[in-house]
Amino acid sequence: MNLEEISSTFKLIRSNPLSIAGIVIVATFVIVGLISPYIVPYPADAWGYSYNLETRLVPPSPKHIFGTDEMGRDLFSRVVLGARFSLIIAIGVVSIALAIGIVVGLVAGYMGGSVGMILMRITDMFLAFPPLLLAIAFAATLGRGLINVIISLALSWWPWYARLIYIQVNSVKNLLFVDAARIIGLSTTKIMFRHILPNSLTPVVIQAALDMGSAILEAAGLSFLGIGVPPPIPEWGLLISQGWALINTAWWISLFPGIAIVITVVGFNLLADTFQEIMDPRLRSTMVMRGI
Amino acid sequence: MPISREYIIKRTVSLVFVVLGVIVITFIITRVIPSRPELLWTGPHATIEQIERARRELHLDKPIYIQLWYYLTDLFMGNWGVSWRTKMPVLPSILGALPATIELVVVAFVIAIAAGVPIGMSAAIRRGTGVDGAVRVFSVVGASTPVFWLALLLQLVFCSWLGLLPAAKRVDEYLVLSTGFRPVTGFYLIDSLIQGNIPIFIDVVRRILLPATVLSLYPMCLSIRMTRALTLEVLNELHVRSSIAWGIPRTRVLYRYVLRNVLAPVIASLGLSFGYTIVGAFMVEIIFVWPGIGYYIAMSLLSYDYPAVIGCVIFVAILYSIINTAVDLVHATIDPRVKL
Amino acid sequence: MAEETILSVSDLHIDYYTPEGVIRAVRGASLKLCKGESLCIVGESGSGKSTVGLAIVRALPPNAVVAKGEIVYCGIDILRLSEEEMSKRIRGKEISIVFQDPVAIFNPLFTVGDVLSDVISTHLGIRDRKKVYEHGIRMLKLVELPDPERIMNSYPHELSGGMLQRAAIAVALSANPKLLIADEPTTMLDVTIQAQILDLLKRLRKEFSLSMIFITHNLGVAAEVCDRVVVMYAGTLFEEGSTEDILANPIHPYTRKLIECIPRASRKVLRLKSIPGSLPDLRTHLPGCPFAPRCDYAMDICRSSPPPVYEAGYRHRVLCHLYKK
Repeated sequence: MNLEEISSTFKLIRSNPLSIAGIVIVATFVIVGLISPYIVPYPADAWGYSYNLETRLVPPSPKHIFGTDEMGRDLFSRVVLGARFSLIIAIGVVSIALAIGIVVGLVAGYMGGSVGMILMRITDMFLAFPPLLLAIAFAATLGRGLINVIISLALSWWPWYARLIYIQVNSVKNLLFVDAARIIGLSTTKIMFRHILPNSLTPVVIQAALDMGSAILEAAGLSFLGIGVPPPIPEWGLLISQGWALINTAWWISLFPGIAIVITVVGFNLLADTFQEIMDPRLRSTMVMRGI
Repeated sequence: MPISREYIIKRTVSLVFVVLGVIVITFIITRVIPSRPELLWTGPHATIEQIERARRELHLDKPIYIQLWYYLTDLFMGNWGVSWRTKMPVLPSILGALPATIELVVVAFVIAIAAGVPIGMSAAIRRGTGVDGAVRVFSVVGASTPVFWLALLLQLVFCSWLGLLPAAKRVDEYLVLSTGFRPVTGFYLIDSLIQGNIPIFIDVVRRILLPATVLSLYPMCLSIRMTRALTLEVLNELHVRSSIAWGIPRTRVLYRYVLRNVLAPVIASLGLSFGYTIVGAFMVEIIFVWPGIGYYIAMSLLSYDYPAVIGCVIFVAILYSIINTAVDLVHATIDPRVKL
Repeated sequence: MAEETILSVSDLHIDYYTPEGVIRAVRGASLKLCKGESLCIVGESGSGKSTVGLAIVRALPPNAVVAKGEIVYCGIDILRLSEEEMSKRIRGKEISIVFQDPVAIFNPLFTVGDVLSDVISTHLGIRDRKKVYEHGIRMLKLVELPDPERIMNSYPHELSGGMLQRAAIAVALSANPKLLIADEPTTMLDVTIQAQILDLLKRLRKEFSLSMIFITHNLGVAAEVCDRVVVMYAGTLFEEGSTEDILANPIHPYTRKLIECIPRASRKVLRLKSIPGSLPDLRTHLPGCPFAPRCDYAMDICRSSPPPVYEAGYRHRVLCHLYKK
């Protein structure tokens, strides 16, 4: 990307309010996620280890902007800290799924032949499951826990990346410069990583941005079903399910974590859209926007 | 456009392989990954004798391929295990709960397409205007909303606060008794109409309205996005301009020709969103106490009823594959360019 | 002998709005067509010739805008009509068009018969499906398509380019228009099919007393098909005249170059001739004559001011600084 392309990219982003919104939201999310333990007004509440009968079920008020839950914990602190866990989940799931998917897709695509076919058949078998269902199966087997949630989601997602990469590698494989590299005598792995991979990455990057948001949504879903993160972790989905029983009287407990989820996921979706506009507007139809 | 027999056979064969793959994967998840699979199967309150019996029934001392063989034959013979929560066999329970879920999902999809495609097309035609912007914002926000959260809130507003709609269940038992309603197909909407039972029909509609609408949000937003993008593409293609240039009125070109060009890929893509909608249905069922597979799976998850959970997973996965194949066949019927 | 002008285009300016900028594709084009005449618009790719043709039926792509100018057909101001009136009164009924890419003209999900029947019933107001079908078959026979029943039920991907183009001509003529615009109808076809389609068009023109505007990059084709020729370059019209006049006595330097480039079988040709240089960037505003960079006779005034009109003979106009009025 030379200077002219970079400046025209910035112009494109600046002119589109949705793009700006996406970048701002995601940036805010990441920053909050990183520093939240240090900025929450009630740290003990946030981590869930406090118990304060006097402030139980207080509606939103100046001292507690989002109100308090049934254990007297400040909800605002919990939601803000929840951003950190959502960040961990999003990054964890996407990076593991990417790692597995890229390796499988790259090998299958470049090797081709029977190795490729077997790998792709396995990938297809995983793809036959409705996405969250496989995660439910894994989560039910592994039990509750932050790590388990990340593993379950990552294991049900890597096939998408493997397939994306495989398709890209297949089409790039036959381009001339790859043959040229081979003639010069570069080793197979070098060819794969240095030459094929960078060209195949565009749809993957866009999909990864979308998936960061989707990871948060699906983890929230798993937590809501009771097979996600265990209490007292203030994960947004778990907070919503904890507020469910009291929804008629203490509606704020379920409301605010949900708003946090919507805003964050919207941010990632807008970001992914922006990437798409920049990198290749033609890829529109192959992108998958998940949800729950 | 008749589909050739070979195509149907080809897809069926591939479906069989896919189903086998699904079963193998669940086998790996349930038997190979856990260190002591029999514990999962018997639940947290099992006695030592029950655990030992489970070990024998699951043939865990035998080599893997023998286990797989028993696993396959058990599944094919309908022996999907017994839910120790309900003490009843898993497969019949799932089949019993199936119509409720299907009814909910179908209504949700109908709402999604009936609303999503027109909205998407109008946004595309009015590209760049305020309407277009509002639609795009709506579709992004809608697709980012957790369905269980929305269900909770809407239930709170419409059922508790406003009292407009009933909050739970498919149908009022009192009405069932007083009007002598007897479900035949399991699809209460159809059954009540067949039997001319209007009070039940109205009741079912009132109860299905909110859950189906909440469930339809995600596929609706996907439809809107896809329809909008596709319509923009199609409008740029030469055949649209040529039809107009030859004198066919613009509205007719849009609603007869462009619509079909757009509908084919949109329906195909709905197969993908179907997977998410099924899991979304689970959430909605829990909140609205809708007696479908989702409710069953959620209750099973809460009680760590592993056989029931895995049974549901297998069942839904197989169902999903069948539906995907069916969608492909429908797509091939609409679009004559698909290689048969 | 006063001939009746049926189409007059005056000072047409058309812009395309693209991500790379605004392309001024047509910069002040003017032409006149008389009843029964066939006029060829000749030019390289990017000369704006197709754009002019499309503008006459208002079949331009969505990102095109007519910035200035007038198109008058039989006294009707085309550019002022509403879309509805265009479709009801003009398109198909009075003026029709055949496009360049026969495969892309037809909607892949519909049969040729679907479109043909739709156009017929729209224009002739016939509701009776049988009558519409029969009219369709008649039109397909008219364009010399064998087995018209099969064609009616065929999808575009099942037919060859030549057959599709014939079908397109059938659709275009089905409501009996008076003016047919043919936008490079043979460019994407094989040479042998090209000749057949050209013959077909010539025959149909005679049978239906059609006026025709034929757009092409090939001066040889123009010579064969048309009475009059208009030469376009970079959005500007350089020369307009009868085919004999222009071929025998080309006045504009660009026209002369074009004629030189036609390969001739009689001469011993060692090398195919081409005009050195390339089109100017159509996004910029060109103060002078757009051909100046490539013209052998370019003078200083050619670069600074637009070329004036020079009447070289009866209905023979040239835009060039070389000739003073």
